[in-house]
Amino acid sequence: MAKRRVMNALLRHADSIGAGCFDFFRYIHSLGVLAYLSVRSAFYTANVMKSATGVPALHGLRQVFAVVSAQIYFTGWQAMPLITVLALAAGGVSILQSSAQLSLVGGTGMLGNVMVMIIVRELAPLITALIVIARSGTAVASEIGNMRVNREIEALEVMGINPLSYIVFPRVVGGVISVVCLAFYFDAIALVGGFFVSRALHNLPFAFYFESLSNAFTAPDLILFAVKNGFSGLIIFVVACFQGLSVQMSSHEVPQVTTKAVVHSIIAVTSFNLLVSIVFYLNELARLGLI
Amino acid sequence: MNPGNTLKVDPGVRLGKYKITAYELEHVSFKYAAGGLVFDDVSLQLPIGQIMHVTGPSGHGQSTLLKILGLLSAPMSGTIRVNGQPVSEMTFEEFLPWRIEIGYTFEGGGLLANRTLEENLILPHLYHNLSEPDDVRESIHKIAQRFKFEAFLDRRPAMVSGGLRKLITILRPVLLRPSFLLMDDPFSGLDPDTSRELEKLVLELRSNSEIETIYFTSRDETWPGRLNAQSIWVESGKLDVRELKKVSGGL
Repeated sequence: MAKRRVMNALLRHADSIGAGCFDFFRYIHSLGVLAYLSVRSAFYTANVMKSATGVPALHGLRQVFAVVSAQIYFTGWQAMPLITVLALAAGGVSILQSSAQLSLVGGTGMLGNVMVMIIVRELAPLITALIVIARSGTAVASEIGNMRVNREIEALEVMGINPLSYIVFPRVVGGVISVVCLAFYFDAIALVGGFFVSRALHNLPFAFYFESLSNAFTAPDLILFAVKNGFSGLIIFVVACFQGLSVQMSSHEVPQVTTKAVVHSIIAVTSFNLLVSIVFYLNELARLGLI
Repeated sequence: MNPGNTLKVDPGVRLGKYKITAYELEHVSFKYAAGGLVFDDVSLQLPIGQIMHVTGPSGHGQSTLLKILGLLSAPMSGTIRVNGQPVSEMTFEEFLPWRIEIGYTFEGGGLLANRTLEENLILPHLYHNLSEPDDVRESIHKIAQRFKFEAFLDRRPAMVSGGLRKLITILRPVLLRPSFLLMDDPFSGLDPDTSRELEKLVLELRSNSEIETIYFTSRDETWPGRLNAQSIWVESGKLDVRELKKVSGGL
């Protein structure tokens, strides 16, 4: 009897783990489907109307890309002051700490490598993503949630405008472009601006620093930059749009989905960054013949 | 008001073969996720080419019926056929040409908050390239003059009265000249002058055959008579088409 109770408890535990895994994969699948359908709908609507009326309906795409540019303005342009401050601080302290430690072991020539490792590969993608989640992920989730409550999503549907093409697609595209550009901006400000911020506290010549940086950059860094920042943007905005659209009809759901969007985005982006870094460094070790 | 100032929207390319000429519900059942059955195995060939007042006891699904007819809510089971085609099984894009021919006006909300009133009115025309933008702008300004809200065209919905917001949600599909128009409680919240002008507009569009079929809900029993509307009685999950109401007003 006692054995059976223990067995049942174990099975229930296994069931709940299984159900949790199933929910997780269903959530990932839903996000993937949302991303795919939004891209498909943006280009498919124009074709449908062309075949129905004989007139190209490319104005639809023009309207969609007007929303893309607005999203880039809000997510990219308006975040630049905050990114500037964080990049200068991150770049400055990284240079100070690294140059101080490296000079102790006579490895100042490696400063460029350390900066590329810290700033380009790790800090820029992570800090940029966290800033975009805080500023724009929340804004997008709450905006779309409020649109649901105010029946704006239904209004688009009755106008024959697919909300996926008019709401989701431009926000995701604008978001990805913004995150990639902001990360590039973060790198530039942190590596160059950070040097001048910390200039008062060290006597490193700029030409030496610049040469060290130039030698440190490799082709895989570009791939890492594109993968980390591109997918971070995709994750943040697909999650935000999904959560916003999940509002049913009540305004009290809006703050709940906004919180969910932030929590899920942070977990997903940090996990993704960690995963890509692990793969990158395993690849580096393999390239050096160490594994 | 200037009743002589008629609309001159160039409908552009009319979707001739998609014009709504038949609308049928086949064994349609519907329930909300949290709630009981609203419609239970309803089959009905909807009257086309008439003004229909969707009525019945409160809370029995009049507005829900309009949402189902506008394909805003999908039935739980059964088929919706438009011009003989099973549209309830179509994707958004496949149904799109028919959707342009089915207008829907909201009881509340439904305006894009970050767009001005003019941008709200012009958006579907620009998106679908159905009319020349200058022609649409001209017709928007004419109808704004007629309903006396031209001074508010550049304002966002939050900056105008609830009545004007309601009017804009009604005029937006009207400007597209759908052949089948669904209006959810269109006359409530409008001032008497605007209601009468809207009534004139609806009758004008009907007499010009620009909008052929109109289904509307209304708590005010004077409107069905003024519009010579037949009625669809909605009660306990069933639909019943009833005879022409006696005209008690009108122009």
